[in-house]
Amino acid sequence: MKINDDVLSAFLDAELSDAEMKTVREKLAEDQTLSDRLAELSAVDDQVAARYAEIDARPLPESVSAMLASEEAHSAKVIAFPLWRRAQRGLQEQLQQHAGMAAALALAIGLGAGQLFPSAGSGGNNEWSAVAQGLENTPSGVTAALDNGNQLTPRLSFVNQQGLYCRQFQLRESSRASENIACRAAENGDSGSWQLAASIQLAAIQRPGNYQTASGGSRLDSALDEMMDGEAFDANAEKALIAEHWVNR
Amino acid sequence: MIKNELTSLVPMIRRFAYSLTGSMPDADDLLQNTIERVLSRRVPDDVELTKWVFRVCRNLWIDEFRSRKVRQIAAQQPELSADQIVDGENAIHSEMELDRVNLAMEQLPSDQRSILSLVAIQGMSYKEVAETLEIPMGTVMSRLARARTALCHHLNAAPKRISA
Repeated sequence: MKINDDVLSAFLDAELSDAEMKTVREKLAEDQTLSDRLAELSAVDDQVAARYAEIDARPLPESVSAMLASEEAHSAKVIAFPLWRRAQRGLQEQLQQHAGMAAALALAIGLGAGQLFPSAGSGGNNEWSAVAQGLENTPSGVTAALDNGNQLTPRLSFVNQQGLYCRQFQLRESSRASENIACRAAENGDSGSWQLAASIQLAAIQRPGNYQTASGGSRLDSALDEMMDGEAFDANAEKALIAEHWVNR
Repeated sequence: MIKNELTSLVPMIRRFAYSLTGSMPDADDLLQNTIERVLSRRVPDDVELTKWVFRVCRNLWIDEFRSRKVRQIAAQQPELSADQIVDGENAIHSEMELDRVNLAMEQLPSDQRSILSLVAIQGMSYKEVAETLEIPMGTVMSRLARARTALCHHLNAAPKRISA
């Protein structure tokens, strides 16, 4: 085998056959000029890599960051049915019969419970405790009318990464609706209570006689993907949990 | 999701763009056009995103490279003096940024330049380069060797010229 730049270059990238690699290695050991040449060739890559890494020091153009950031807002739509969606799909078909609203653009995730449920967190509050009570007893896919006239529709139940039981649910009030996730956290050894983990406000547009699918649930897709540990519970497992009052494992 | 993947690829694509254009502002323009193009069109199912992005970047550069050649030819005609002024500015700007590595890269045919960049900057295997640029592996191997030989020559020739 004649050892020229072509061979040395491929040797550098370990792109020769095993036999050829061995031959070149042996030749390199006995021929100083060959190993010098190899060093020169390999220095080319280092210089090129170092030279063009210099652009790292220049701030990334805002136009580029903006393009990549704005894509983030759309990403929830792009998520292809992950595992848990399969369990949810059947429920959503049911839900579509009830859902008479078009979900217009939402606020961001992360509004605290305090904003959405002004009384949440304070003892003896009414609005959140009604929601919590509904979460305690209502199977997914069933709409419960709460005492204050709001409608609660749990969508699915699951265990989050911290091992807590969580439920995704829709809450419809007279003039607005929200998609939410609450988890059941135990505190100080008590039996635990439902606490809001994520919420998206939907602008509800009532269109009597013109029913549209509430697509709001999918807006929490990315939050669910991050939170869920495993798949959603099926109807039987959920029934058992309701019977056991969601006592944490 | 594609945004997350793209974000992680940006530093490498940017270096690649810089190695192709030899100018930081041009590299960022090329980067922007690349990201724009990738986001606005569907990524083919049979190509990995990484390879696709590098391919788009390289093709956009080739297109721009070609149209620039056309402009240069047009600028040589006296009635297009406005273009000449622009080209003059570009030349001064380029000169400031040129150094030995860049100068040597400028001498390479566009294919050799792309291949060397993908291997040296992105660490691609010959197979990956072949798939990215849609050329045979044997071509990758021979053109890469030629690119390294040429760069070796340019980089090592410079000091000798100074001492002579």
